[in-house]
Amino acid sequence: VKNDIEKVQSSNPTPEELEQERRELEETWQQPKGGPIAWLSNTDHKDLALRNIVTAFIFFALAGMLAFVMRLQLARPNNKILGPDLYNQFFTTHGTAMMFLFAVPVMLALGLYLVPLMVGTRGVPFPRLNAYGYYTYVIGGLFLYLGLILNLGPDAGWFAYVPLSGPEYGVGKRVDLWGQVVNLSEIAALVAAVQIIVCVLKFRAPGMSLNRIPLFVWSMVVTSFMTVFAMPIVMLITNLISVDRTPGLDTHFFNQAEGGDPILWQHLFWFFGHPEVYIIFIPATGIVSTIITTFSRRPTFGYLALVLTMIATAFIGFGVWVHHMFAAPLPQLGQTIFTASSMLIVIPNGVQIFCWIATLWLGRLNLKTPLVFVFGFFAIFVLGGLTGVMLASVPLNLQLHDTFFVVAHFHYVLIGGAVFPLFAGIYYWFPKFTGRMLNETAGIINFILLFIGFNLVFFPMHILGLNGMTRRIYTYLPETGWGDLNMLATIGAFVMGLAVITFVANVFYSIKLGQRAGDNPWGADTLEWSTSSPPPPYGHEHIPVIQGRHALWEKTDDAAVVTGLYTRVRETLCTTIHDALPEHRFEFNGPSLYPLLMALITGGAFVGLMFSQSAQAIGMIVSFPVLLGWFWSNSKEHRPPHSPEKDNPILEEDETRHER
Amino acid sequence: MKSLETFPSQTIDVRKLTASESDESSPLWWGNTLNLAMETVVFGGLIAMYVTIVMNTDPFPPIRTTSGLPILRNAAPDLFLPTIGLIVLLVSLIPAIWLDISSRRHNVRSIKIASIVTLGFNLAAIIIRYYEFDSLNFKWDDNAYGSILWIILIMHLIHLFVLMGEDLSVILWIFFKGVDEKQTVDLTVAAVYWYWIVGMWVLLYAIIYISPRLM
Repeated sequence: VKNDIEKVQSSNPTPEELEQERRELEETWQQPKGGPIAWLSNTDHKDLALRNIVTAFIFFALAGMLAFVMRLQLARPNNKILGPDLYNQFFTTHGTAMMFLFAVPVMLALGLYLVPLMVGTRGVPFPRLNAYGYYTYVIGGLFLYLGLILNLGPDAGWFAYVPLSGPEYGVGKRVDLWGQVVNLSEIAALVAAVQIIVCVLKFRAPGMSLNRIPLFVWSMVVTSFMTVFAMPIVMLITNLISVDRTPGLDTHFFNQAEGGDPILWQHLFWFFGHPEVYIIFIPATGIVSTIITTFSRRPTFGYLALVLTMIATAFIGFGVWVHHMFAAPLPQLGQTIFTASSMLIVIPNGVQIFCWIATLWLGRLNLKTPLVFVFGFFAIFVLGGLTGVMLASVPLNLQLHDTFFVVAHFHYVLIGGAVFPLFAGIYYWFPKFTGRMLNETAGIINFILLFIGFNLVFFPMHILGLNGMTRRIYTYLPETGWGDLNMLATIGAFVMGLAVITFVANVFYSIKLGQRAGDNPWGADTLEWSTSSPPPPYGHEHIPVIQGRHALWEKTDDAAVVTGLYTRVRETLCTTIHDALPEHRFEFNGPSLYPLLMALITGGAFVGLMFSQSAQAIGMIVSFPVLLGWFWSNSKEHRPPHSPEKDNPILEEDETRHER
Repeated sequence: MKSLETFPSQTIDVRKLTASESDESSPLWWGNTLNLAMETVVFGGLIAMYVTIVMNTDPFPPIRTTSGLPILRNAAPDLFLPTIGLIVLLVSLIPAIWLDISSRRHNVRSIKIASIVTLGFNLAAIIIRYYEFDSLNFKWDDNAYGSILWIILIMHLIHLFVLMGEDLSVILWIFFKGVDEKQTVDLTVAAVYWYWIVGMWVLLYAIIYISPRLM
């Protein structure tokens, strides 16, 4: 950096000048205050991401309650709490909500909050689009739970296999509702992915070349690229199944009798569905890398290896989908290839785990709640990974297909691989979000309850599955002998419930009464900790210049900062993609109500699609004037800084200041 | 707030950097490129479906036995109108490139003319597409082959509509408010979108209209 960028002697601003600058930034970046309209037109990436995280946890709690009721139903043989129909709706809604409304959105939301701060910029590139994504997600989520209340809860499983979800067997509107919920939540995911990729490509602080990007940011970039290439497929097929199902249209995409193909559904679904697992897991690896580095108090061991394993996992993740379909009639050679590719993924994951162990081994540990949750992740995720290796083998897979062994496996992978790191991340970044620490004692209690509860629920399921208990059955007979282990699992569900209640209580307590955090309570190395807690709306007061991979640890006392960004408009610095050299100034759009309006139209059109395909055309026509308003209001705000240089008020003003 | 002592002695001053941007230096360009990546994935999925359905269809090209229509032994799609549509799209590249270049040069007069001509081609492509559905020889509900042909045409048609909407909104701005740098970036990005639409159609045309005749 030193040689590439021209540094100038600092004008040595006086404290008054700095104060003035800070006041201007505050005014410029302020979001509208007072009243619901102001609240709804907020486009600050941090505010929206926090709302997104809270919303995701609410959907998580609701889906968890559904799981709890299912556990109650299965506690004893011949139980009568849930009938078969309601049980079907419960497990489908549980799976759909956990995947589409919790796991993916919460990870991307964490990225939307942290990535701009970590790369040293002031926001996401398209703030209004960001708000639009959040609102479509909320509409999709509300729609799913509303459907359950109205007896319209989807009931064909979260992967909605045809023909069960087709027009012949999936009567009513339940599957259509599922499809539209998926569509709405995936719009949000795609929006978030684009924000994160563009933010990292263009907005990195000067000096943050590709090999200095924090590992969490790398994980979000990899995840976002996977999102871009996986999510469109599921949106395509949910729309096609809904056309197949619409009376009067009667297409035959998945109808065997007319040349369509039910197996095609499985292929396309899992072509999306398997990368989806890594879309949830890779951000978790980013969280784990960050926390392990901070709490080992030493540079990450194997930075390059960790980055490459994430990228390798992403590529391999697109080539293993058939291992979900080993019970479908597929050519044997094909199955063998997918067994091999599924086992291949052990290599990057193994390398990751060894890098983390090495970092911990060589560090001086600071054993706090986030690190404890990471240890929990190790134990549970490795177990889930081992059953994954078992399931990659075709003969065993065929035997265990659709049993509780599979349920145990993917909960070990997903809760171990994503929820434990997520909790670790929340305990880690809560001080940054709120300015206060979460309580340590409650944190440890939370961990112990969650760890014990989780293993009580899901470990017995391995044995139940081996004993032949199939998944998605609403009850079983006493003669099967499955009663005791199921009771044990249900007791575990109580303990997990207690763990979540402890967490929520801790959050409510600490947000008001927690210990004050300060800027960098953990002594961490990434840039978000250089801002105040919570960060100001403009993120960084001066965009920093990065001197090393661990930005705050390697920062020297005389580290330069970026000056000269205009403080009267929301402006940031665009840098080059590889080396992050300053390129041009970029202005953000301000708050607006149009994103909400547009999300409502999208939601309305998608709900309408359940009943008539003309909803799409009507939606397009109605959105045109709204989009026109959105774009035109953009353009108005853009005017001053984009006018030609000679009559640019900013430059003129600066020149007069210089002359003076 | 930083105190005087801790303020660095050196800074990188960016006030002289322009606010102008183009192509891959522009966040908008990247947003658009990623959007096109998503849409390419969608067409990839559709092509995979097309291949599967063709493999399930025996004989292929199928025989049309729809009631009320004459029996067609080899019902590969007709070529005449789709080929005209293809030519129109290919020719439309000329005004699109012209618009792209004049936007980069900030030539307001050329921008105005080229944008109207491009819009005209866009409209012509939509009108031809409307009649093109008859060339497919099947309705969407005749069989899975008919379904996949229709959906491919419709998905591409939606892009024609979306780009028309995008161009229309920029053109309205240009004629009422004049051209500034933000609009010229919009136009160069929209040009990339148009190139993609045409390029994608060349591929889809080859698959839908040519490939059945090679089997």
